Amino acid sequence: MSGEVAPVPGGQSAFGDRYEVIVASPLPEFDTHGGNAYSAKDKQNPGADVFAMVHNPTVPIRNELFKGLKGRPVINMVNPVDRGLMNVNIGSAKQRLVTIFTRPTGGALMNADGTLHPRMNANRLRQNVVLAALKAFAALHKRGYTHRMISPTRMYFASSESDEVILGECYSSPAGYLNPFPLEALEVSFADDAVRGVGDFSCDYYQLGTSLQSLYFGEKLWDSRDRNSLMMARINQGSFGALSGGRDIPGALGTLIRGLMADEPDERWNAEEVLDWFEGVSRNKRTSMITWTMSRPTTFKGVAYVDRRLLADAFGKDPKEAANFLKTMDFSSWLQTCFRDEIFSERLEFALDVRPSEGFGGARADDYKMVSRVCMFLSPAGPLYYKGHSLMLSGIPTLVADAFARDDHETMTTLLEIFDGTFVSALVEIAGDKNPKLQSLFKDIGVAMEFGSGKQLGRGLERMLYELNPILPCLSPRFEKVWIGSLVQLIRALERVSAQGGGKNILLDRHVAAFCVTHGSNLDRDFNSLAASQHNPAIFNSLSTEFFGRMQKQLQLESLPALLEKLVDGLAPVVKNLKNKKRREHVQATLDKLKKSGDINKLCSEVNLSKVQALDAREFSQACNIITKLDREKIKLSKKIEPTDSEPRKKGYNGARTAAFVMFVLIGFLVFFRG
Amino acid sequence: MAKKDKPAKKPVRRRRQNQGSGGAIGILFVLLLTVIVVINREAAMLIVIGLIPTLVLGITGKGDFKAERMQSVALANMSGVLLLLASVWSKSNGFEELISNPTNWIIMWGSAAIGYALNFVGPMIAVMILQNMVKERLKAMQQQRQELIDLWGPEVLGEKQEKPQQKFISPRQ
Repeated sequence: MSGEVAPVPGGQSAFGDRYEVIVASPLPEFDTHGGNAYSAKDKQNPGADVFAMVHNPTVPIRNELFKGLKGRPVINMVNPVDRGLMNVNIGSAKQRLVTIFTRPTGGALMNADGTLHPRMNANRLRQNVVLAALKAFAALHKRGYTHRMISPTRMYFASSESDEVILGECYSSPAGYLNPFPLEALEVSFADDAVRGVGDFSCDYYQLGTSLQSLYFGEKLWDSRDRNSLMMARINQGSFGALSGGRDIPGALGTLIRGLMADEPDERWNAEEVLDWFEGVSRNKRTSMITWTMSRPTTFKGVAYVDRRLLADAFGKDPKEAANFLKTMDFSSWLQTCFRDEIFSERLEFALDVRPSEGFGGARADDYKMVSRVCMFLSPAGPLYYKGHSLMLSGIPTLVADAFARDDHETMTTLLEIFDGTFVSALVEIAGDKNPKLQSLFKDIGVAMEFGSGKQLGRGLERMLYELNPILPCLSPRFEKVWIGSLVQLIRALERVSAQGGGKNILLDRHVAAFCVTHGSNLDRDFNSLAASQHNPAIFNSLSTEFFGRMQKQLQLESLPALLEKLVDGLAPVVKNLKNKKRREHVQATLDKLKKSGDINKLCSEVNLSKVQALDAREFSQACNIITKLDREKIKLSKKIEPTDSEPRKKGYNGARTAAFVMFVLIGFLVFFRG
Repeated sequence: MAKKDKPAKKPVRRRRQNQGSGGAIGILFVLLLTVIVVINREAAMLIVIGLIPTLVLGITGKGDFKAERMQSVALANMSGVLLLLASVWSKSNGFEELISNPTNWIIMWGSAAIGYALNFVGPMIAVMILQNMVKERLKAMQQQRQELIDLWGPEVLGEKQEKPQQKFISPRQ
């Protein structure tokens, strides 16, 4: 198997030559779930303060952020400077994507253990932190990006002398990915850690509020909090009170933090209110008209719920119990009594489709979907609850990547169940009015999810993964030591695998196939043919050669001698199967001649194995027919010819008549024209 | 039923055609003879007497290829009659004188015998020629077959792969 794992490329890339990653000097304060940070040196600019982040291949990066920030850095934020593939020696030599960031050297405002930076105080909090965050937000939001990774441990002093505060980077992992739920705005915090979704600008302001609060109290307010009790407290007391544990922050700073931590997005402060606050103008935002309170409490599992979001969350986290609860109640009258202010159409009730238990009342297959529909009704702007998962739709790509990293097939199968046509339309019917983005999100993600249920090569869950996360490298175990972000890199890695004797049947690797189909154009048919011929090595190798030949041409790749040699070796059964001896010798001679050249495309165009195989088969069939015909004729001709047979008699009599005619003419001539 | 009828119809049609062509030749012969009778009665008599073997064959002949056989005999017979016809036509010899000479009978009827002989020998010679042709054809076919086997390998023979011919060895040997 070791021969099957792509080796790390020999030399460093140009990027690797420029930057030096000092693996012995890790920088844990800059670590994220997307990668580990290390000290780095820029050889071209030795004075620059930079650090390197070695990315984790299973976590998708926010590529659009890199494109938006490289060359146009955002003030008061750790900005990416450059990125590239590099060989790094972390445990063992590996090729990894490394991003170089500007490095604030003043230290984090709060350490991982919760201790504050010695220079941190309420004055700096009020003046430097808020201003720095505001500047960074203004620049980021103007470009259409959210940060979503703001926490006290990810805010730094620019240098040991400077009071300038710098926000941490937000490009190395998806928005809100595995962020502690107390640090997330209420509307997204109900969702599971890995699937919080893109969120919006107001989520950044909420995160700033919680960070300021933690920095003010000098403790990690998010640490070791029980989800259910904190969520209930956040709903009942508001996030500010719930997180602070009833402690107040006096003065203007308290007003600011309360405004930033408002749970209703409409009430939450944004740049305008924060600027007003700086100027000393305190302007309260209008109160949201949205009410989440039910007319009557509903008791589920011994807890009386008044807030519909909490009830949805309770239902969603225990769907089996919720299904039993819903089936045993009179759903229509429950709706009428608990949601007295709402108008229920028959259409909505039909979409909710809550049916009482029938017969012995066992669990039905669609009970989970029924609970999910009810949850969606209760909390239309909240996450989608299904089988114990709570998902923000825009975070599904991240969840798929996360599930692959954990090899969690159950979650992926659950996701596929959600994207069943009728279920999606029922959810849109229920919550589409209150959550207008729902339909387009389902549509966008549904396109990729359709691939998930396919079993063919180049489809399935792997295809779903790469379609949803095009930035992810190929996660095939064969490439565990290298970073394959494009087809060019994939084929170059295969060249290296081939050089060390591996790479057999690599195109049957589901990850490789899905990656190729996602990143290539119109390769579905190729992989269907390859899958269909996987039990026929002759055809499979021939198709593989044609595939790589086409790739080499399309991607304008250099010579690939090792891969070609491997492919030519694989073509031995094809050549052997050619029936025509002359053709076989000719093809073998051509293959031997081109073997060392590394030009797969030339080999394909000169030999065109599919055409040769088809021609050979056709001519062989014709030859078989000729042999049969000859044998039949031989049997016919082998019979003894007798003078009594029809043919010799006919021919003999015709000959006799001719001879008699000649005799007659001759005698007539002699008799009449003698003189 | 229709299929069964078809083979029965064919020979009937052929017989009619043969009878038709034979009848036409007969009528033509009678007309020609009438013309010759008008011009030279002795010559006409010589033709009738000389062509008796052909006429006999025409009346008594049976089986396939009757027309071809008769044409051979008629042409050979007429060759013999032609030899004598010239002297009768030119009146260099009297008809009775010719009739009385047995050699002339031998010439006329002997030539008809040559026609019969040609009919007898013709198929035998044809057999010899055809056998030679078949031999050549078989040789060419064998060569073509071998070339195909050389080019495509024994697989081209399909299931009936060439087996080495085993010589029958008698237990007594």
